[in-house]
Amino acid sequence: MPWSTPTTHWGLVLAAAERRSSPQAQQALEVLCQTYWQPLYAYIRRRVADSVEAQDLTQAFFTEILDKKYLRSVTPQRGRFRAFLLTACQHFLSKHWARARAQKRGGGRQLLSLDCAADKRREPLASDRTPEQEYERQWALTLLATVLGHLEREYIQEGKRELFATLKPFLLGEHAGLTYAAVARPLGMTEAAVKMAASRLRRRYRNLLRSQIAQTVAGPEAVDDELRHLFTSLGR
Amino acid sequence: MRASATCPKCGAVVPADAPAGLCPQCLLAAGLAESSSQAGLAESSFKAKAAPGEQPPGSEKEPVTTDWPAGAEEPPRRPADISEPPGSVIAGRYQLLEPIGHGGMGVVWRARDVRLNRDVAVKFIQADRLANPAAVHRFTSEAQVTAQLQHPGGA
Repeated sequence: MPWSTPTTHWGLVLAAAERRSSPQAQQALEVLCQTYWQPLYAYIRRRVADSVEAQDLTQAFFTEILDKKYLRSVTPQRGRFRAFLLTACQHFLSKHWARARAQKRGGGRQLLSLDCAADKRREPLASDRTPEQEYERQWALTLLATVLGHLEREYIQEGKRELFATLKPFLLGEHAGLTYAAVARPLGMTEAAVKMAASRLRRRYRNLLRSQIAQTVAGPEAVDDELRHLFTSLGR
Repeated sequence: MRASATCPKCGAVVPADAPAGLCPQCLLAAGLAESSSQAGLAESSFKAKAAPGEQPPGSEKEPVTTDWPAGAEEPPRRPADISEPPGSVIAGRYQLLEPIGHGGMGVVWRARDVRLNRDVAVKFIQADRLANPAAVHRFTSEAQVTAQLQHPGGA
């Protein structure tokens, strides 16, 4: 998701549904779909027999999203974008299976290629999680990976690739297995400077994470609630 | 799949698909607003969850919730014993009647679910346990198992 985009995920979807979207917004919506491909794939994968069918259905779902056909038939409730997308997907699957039963498949529909998402696909780990639990878990992991990826790109653009790679574990804070003193010398920095750099990294990370979540909920006041919910979903 | 590592921060097993190999729960914890973690500490270091004593036919299994005030780099501190007075209403629906037990993780109360008019057990987890995702996970799992065992449709 481009961080320069001023609107929220909700704004993109609603604009698309109302045919108000600009080419830029359309492009942003496509990026949005790519970003959240994995959680939807993981959800569908838990509901169908094989990964190929799951890939096809995930692509078909996003094709409908991008074609805006599906969005017009849905009334988005303000709230968590994560919940909206899952409901939309469940609705899509119901329709798909009803259609498949009626037509015995074979509609000859052209699927939009989302190849860029395919190379990021992870097979859900074996577990006894329900499809919904797996979706929420993958949503949380995708969110974190997106934010970490953006943070890394920022540091690389500033010529600080090594600093980021070294300080990344400090996102969780200093702990017994990793101290500022231990990395100060390899970085050619003082311990105090490393501590300050790590603090800056954590602050930037926190802001990026909260900013990304804020795009998926009704308002900034819901960010902490969403964080807690995702935290719980990872514990399942 | 490679063997999973243990998070040096919280002690939980880091899943193989964790982003950047870092504990995803601790990464989320690091996103909590600093002011929010303080507020969470002040307002709700404990959160109730209920294991249903009896459920109306057809009702859904009791949702299990856990609170998580910590986030931040310092876990919350709170006295180990809970001091909610009898009669307190938790989560807007569970009226505490009397404490019926306590253990290493928290205290169990007999309570009344005033919304569905039924008796339930409400278990509190200690605030300092909430800083440990593995403990929260155990707590949640235990509640889920308990809820299943006590379902009237069960054995």
